[in-house]
Amino acid sequence: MIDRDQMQIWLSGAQDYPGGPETADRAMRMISRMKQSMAVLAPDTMFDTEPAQIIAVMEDLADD
Amino acid sequence: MTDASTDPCLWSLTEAADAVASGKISSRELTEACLKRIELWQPVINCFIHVEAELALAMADAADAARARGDTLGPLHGVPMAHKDMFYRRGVLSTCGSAIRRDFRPDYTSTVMARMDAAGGVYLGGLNMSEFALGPTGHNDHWGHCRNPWNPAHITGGSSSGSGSSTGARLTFGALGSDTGGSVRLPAGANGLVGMKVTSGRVSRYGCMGLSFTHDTIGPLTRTVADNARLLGVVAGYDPNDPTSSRRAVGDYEAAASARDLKGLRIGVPETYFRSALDPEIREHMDQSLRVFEELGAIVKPLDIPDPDANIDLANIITGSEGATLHAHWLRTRPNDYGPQPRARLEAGFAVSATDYLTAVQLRPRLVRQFVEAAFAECDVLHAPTFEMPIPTIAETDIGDRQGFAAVLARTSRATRPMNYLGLPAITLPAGFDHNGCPTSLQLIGKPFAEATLYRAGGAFEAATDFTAKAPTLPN
Repeated sequence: MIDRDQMQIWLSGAQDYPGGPETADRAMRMISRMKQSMAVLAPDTMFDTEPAQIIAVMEDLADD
Repeated sequence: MTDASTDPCLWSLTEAADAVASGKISSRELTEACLKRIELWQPVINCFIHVEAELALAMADAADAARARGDTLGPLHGVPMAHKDMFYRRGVLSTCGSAIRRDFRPDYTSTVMARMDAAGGVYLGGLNMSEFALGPTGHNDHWGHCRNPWNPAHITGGSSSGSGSSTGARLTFGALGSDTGGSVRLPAGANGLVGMKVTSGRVSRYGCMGLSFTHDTIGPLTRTVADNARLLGVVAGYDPNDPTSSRRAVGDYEAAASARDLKGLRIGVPETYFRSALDPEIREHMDQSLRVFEELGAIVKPLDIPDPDANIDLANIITGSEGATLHAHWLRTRPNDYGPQPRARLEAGFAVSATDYLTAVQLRPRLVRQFVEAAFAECDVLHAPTFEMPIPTIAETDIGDRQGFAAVLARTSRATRPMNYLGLPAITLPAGFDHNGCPTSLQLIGKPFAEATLYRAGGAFEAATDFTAKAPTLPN
């Protein structure tokens, strides 16, 4: 997991990106929102998640 | 034929194809008419990145010669079209709306362009687009902002900005675009057009610029539903060069689009997400459209659906990390060749961990199943707006990478983005005009591979309204 400060240092240093602080903040917000949604969508373990392929699921649910 | 039959540029795509097939007009005459109209409109709306006049006229002459020989004619025979400048065509410029690919000429041809050619289409040139398809408004720092033909102070929507603007201005009879978060539907909606975001896997992506392996889809923007059905019928179907394309048979979309009765069609209206932030003017247009559907025999009822906001959160993780992966080399070696906003969006993707990315990807099949089983248990299609507000101006949304830009982009595409994570098909249809003279639009969303059902509903709605009959006029 990259934290906000690591992200900013990397963007400003390795990427030479002047917008590093703002982008690091935005990236952290994006990940935080994703984790909040995950807590609702998949509150339990992912351990038993089936290895489904999206195309197979789409075919199975198709409008026939 | 339309009332304006004296100007062939005002015909629909299917009318133009019929006219060429019958000999009423030659492909060269039709192509020259389009090129002349492009000269008039391009300085106003900036919808082309490059016009390929010489190539177009050569293709038109070949089409006329084929007809003269009595060859079998394809469904697009001799019809001029232009496409978002990201569908590779061997030896022809394909800029992807960027500075980095300003001079890029691929050495192979995309499947969608090959299928357009095989159907007899004539290629007019490459259309403006958001840089690397990143952006829902139509701004472009390298090639100039694309403008709305209905009111050039307003945005075209993006990222297939030129596809919407050029087809709306009647410079081309149809255009392909790509849709990763709304990029076909938003410009279709903003320019008074029909746009189809297809089911994931319905159209090959071989030879098309990628942004997100998971969410990218290719689809048509056209003036009418029948035009759209014809174009999708040409490009859809399995492609051995794209193993993610579906082997499912392509439906008879044109037959579906000819429907005029929606008796028994069940239309669900999700209240909690798609109508929670609607501008009053757009709400009125959505309500009017629902009354039309009811008059056509459809059963309209409110519906609870799983919250699409969470899908957007997961989609951001996927598009962010996939986009950063595709652009990693150039972000290191040519960072200053990106516009500020695309760069800011791409750089954020590097913060996503592999486990977060894979969690979002791995949950997708489960969430698609949950959504489809919940949303479509009691209805056949969902009804939603395309934009939640009247089309904003270019100035209002010209925010670059300044504070708050992500919120502006999110608001612009809030109604379109959930369907890309879910992979579901959605058609955008014109629904009227706002107080600025810009079009308003609705979406109908279907189950996987329900494109024919969406064309059926769209064709009947279009026939009962007159929104697609009107064309914009060149400003003084």
